[in-house]
Amino acid sequence: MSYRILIVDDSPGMRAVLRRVIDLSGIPVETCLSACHGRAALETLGSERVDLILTDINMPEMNGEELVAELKKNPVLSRIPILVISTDATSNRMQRMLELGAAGYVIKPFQPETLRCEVERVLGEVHVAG
Amino acid sequence: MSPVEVDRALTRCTGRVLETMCYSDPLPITGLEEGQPCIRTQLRFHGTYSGIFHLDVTEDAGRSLATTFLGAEEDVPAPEMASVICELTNMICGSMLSTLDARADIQLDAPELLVDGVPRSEGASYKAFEIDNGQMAVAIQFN
Amino acid sequence: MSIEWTLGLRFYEISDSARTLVEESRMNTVVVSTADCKVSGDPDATLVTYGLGSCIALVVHDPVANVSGMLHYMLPDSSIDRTKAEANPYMFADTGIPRLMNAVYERGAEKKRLKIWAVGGAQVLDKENCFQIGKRNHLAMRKILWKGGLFVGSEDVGGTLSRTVRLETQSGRLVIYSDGVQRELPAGKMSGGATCLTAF
Repeated sequence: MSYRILIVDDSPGMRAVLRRVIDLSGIPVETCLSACHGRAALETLGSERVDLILTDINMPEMNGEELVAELKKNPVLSRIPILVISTDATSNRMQRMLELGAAGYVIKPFQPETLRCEVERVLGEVHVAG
Repeated sequence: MSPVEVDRALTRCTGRVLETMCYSDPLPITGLEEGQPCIRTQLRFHGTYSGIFHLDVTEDAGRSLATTFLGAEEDVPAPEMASVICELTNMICGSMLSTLDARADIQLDAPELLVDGVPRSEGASYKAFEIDNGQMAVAIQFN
Repeated sequence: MSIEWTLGLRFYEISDSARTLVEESRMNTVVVSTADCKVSGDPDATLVTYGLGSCIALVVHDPVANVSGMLHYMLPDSSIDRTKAEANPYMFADTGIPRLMNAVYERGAEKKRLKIWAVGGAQVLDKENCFQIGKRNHLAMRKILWKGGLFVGSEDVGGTLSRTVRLETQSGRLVIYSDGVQRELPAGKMSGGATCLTAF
């Protein structure tokens, strides 16, 4: 199976790094889409099927927390696993994101191996769940 | 939070970000050498704490950091370099605020590139470092 | 200088000027000295290096191609002494690691199959950690691997104790000896602090 992944981050540099980690990880990827904020991500999800979302939190237009909250209201989109990747390591934020339904939370700065492990873990759970 | 705690967090978080994302080991120095072309960024933050964070990096060092960050074999062009420096600004500031108060509510604006440098203001915590191919300075001021 | 290539019960020193045939020990043990590198295609070999203080051993293993390699380097950056680096590129991370990787690729190893371990980088002699050689060695290695598109599967680095490391090519087991204690470092398990939180 090949996966379709959506990367949501307002930093082109960070999007490039996330893309590189995924490319190097050996995970079979059909396509890697990107969006620079939550609203753009919702537009993309309106027309593209996606198996995993990686999202930052602090973004203009619509931040990552707002994005996750919106996705969880939608019966179809709520099933897409979400991995949060953020510099915000405060306990309140992390707890809120996990309570909203994020499947994992990677704190920036991160080692590429850590991100790869988390992506594999979340996709593995998707695969098992069928 | 005390000035000592802020200083310590500034040093520790800058080191952590540069080591983890750019494999660079920053060595503390007193300040940037005068007259070097620099890339300068600024980031405003809000929430439990509000204020402003600055990062200055000499151009050659900035290019080196960006090239490593992206895993590139050759020097990256200016737009990519600017994007990476902005992201490093975001990471260091966010990491610092999370370290200083793990229960805080943090909102970071998008980092901005500055054309001119901002003079160091009274009351700002400031740290400078020697890094590969140049120097970097970071400063944070709380409202 | 070429990397020594081991095959079966013998290892060959392949150089431009001389070719030497040396009998290996009965245990198929290949010793990697300080500032040295060995690559083996022997499925029964054991690669071992001793006395890793601030030095780092970078160990790679492709279980399908049956190719393994071990580099024991001392310093991060060859620009401090180009003459030394020319005489022995395995002394430095930036000259040794590319040679190790090229050697295993030339012998059929594939990037996506490679198991990679890093061991060492301690501060043993430099107790005040003035020079931070161990840390700089570690950072140099991680930078080179990231640029080369490689992940470190497992690492046991830092601290203050010297280490000995052994790779058993048949099983792909990596064993570390330190302070009288032996432990296996499984491939793919990064040590050190976690920077992620998992939802349950």
